[in-house]
Amino acid sequence: MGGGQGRVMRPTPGHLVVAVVALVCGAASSAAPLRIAVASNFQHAFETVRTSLDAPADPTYGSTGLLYAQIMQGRTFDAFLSADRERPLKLVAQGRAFGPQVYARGSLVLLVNEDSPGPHWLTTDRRVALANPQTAPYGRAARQALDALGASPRLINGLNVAQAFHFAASGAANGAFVALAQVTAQGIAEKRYWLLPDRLHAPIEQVAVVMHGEREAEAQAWLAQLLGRDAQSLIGSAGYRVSGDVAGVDDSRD
Amino acid sequence: MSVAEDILLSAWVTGLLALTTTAVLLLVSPPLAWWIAQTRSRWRPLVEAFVALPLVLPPTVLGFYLLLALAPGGPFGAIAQALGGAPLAFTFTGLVIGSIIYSLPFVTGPLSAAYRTTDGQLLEAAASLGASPTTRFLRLVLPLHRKALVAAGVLGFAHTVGEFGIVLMIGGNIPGETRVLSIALFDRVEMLDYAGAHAIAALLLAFAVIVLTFTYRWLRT
Repeated sequence: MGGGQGRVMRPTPGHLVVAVVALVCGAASSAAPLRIAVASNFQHAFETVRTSLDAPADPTYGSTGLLYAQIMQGRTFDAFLSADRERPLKLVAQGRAFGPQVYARGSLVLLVNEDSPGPHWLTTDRRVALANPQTAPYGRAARQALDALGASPRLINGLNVAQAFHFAASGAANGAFVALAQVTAQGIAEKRYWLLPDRLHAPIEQVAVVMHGEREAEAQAWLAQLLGRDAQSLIGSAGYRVSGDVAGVDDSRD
Repeated sequence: MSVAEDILLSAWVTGLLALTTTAVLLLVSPPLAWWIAQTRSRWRPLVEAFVALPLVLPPTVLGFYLLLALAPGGPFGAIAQALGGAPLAFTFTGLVIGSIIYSLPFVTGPLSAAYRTTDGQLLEAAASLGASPTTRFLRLVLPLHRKALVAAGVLGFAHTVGEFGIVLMIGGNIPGETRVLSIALFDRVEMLDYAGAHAIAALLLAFAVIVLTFTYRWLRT
C-alpha cells in the first residue's frame, strides 16, 4: 500500500525518558504532600484534622514500633506522629529528628461485647484483646492497668490497638483495651466501654517530631499548625486530651 | 520469658501445628486427589478451584473469613460451643483448621497430578479380578504413588511452617498456643531485637533448605 503513513507521532524511547524525568521531578517538587508517619491509633483523628491544615500531608499508618523500625532502616518521612514518647526521643538523641512535642494525650478504655464494663468484668474466663505490650503504648498501659487491678483474663495479643479493636468488634474476643479515640471514631455507646482511671497506668503521651531532611522547615510549620488551637480542638473532640511541651525534654528550638 | 525460651516455645508450637496439619491432610487429601484425578463429574472444576483457592487468595482474605467463622457468633464457633468446647478463634485448634485449608492445595495438587498418571490397564486388571474401587485405591493407587504421598506430606508440612498471614489474622499471638515462629520473628523486628530476629529467620531458612534438599534428593533415588 504505502502512502497511508500519516504524521502520527509514535512514542519512542526518547519520549519515555522525557516522561519519566518529568514525573520524577514533579514528585520531588515542594508541591508534593509531606510524608507523615502516623501511629495507627491516631488514624481517625488525623483524617479529621489533615484537611484543616495548610500543607497537604500524606500519612503512612502503622504501629509505632514498625514505623520506627522503618525510619531506622532508612525510610524517609518528614514528620513522625508517634504513639509514645520513647521512640521520638530516641530519634532526637540520634540526631535524626528534632522538636519533640506532645500532640495528643491518649486515654485507655475497656470495650466490651457483653455485660457492663468495669474492673469486675475482667474475669479469668473472658478473652480480652490488647495491643502488644512490648511494642505498643496502649498495650503497655493495658498491661499496667491489669497488674494494678490484679486481674488476669485470657489475653489476646493484637499487633496494635487497631487489631485489638478489630478482635473485639468481630466478636472473636469478649472485649479489648483500646484508645478512647477509637470508640469515639466508631460512635460506640458509652455503656459499652469503661474509661480507665489515670492512676491505673502511666500517662500515654503521644509525641511528634520533625525529621531532619530537605523539607524540615515545611514539616516544622505543619507541626506547629497541628499544635495550634484549631487543630487541637479537633483532636480533642476525636477522643484525646490537649497537647503541650514534653516535660523533661530540652527543646532548644521552642 | 527470655528470648531463647520465647523462640523455643514458638518453635514447639510451629512444629506441633505443622505435624497436626500434615497428619490431617494425609488422611483427607489422597481420597480427594483420587476423586479429582478420576471423576467425570461436572463439579470437578469447581471442587478443584476451591482446593486451589489458597494458592491465589491473599492469606489475609482467608484469615478474615476464618476469624468471623471461628468467632463465637460464627458457624464454626457456634458448632464448637454447641459441642461443649470453647470458641475457636485464638486457639491452637483454630490455627489447625486454618492451616488445613491453607496447605490443602500443596498436598492435594501434587497427589492428583501423580494419580492422573496411573496406568489404566492395571486398574482394569484389578477390577476384573474382583477388587472393589476402595481396594483398588488402597492396595494399588496408594502404594504405586507412595513417593508422591511423601513429597506431598513434606510440602504440606513445610508450607505450614512458613504460614504467616492467616496466623496473624486468627492467632492472637498467645505464647505457647498460637505464637508461631513467623509471628515471633515479626515481634522481634518490631521490638528492634534484630539478634532474636536473625536467630528465628536463620532457623526457618535452614529448615526450608534442608527439607527441600533432602526431599529432592530422595525423589531422585
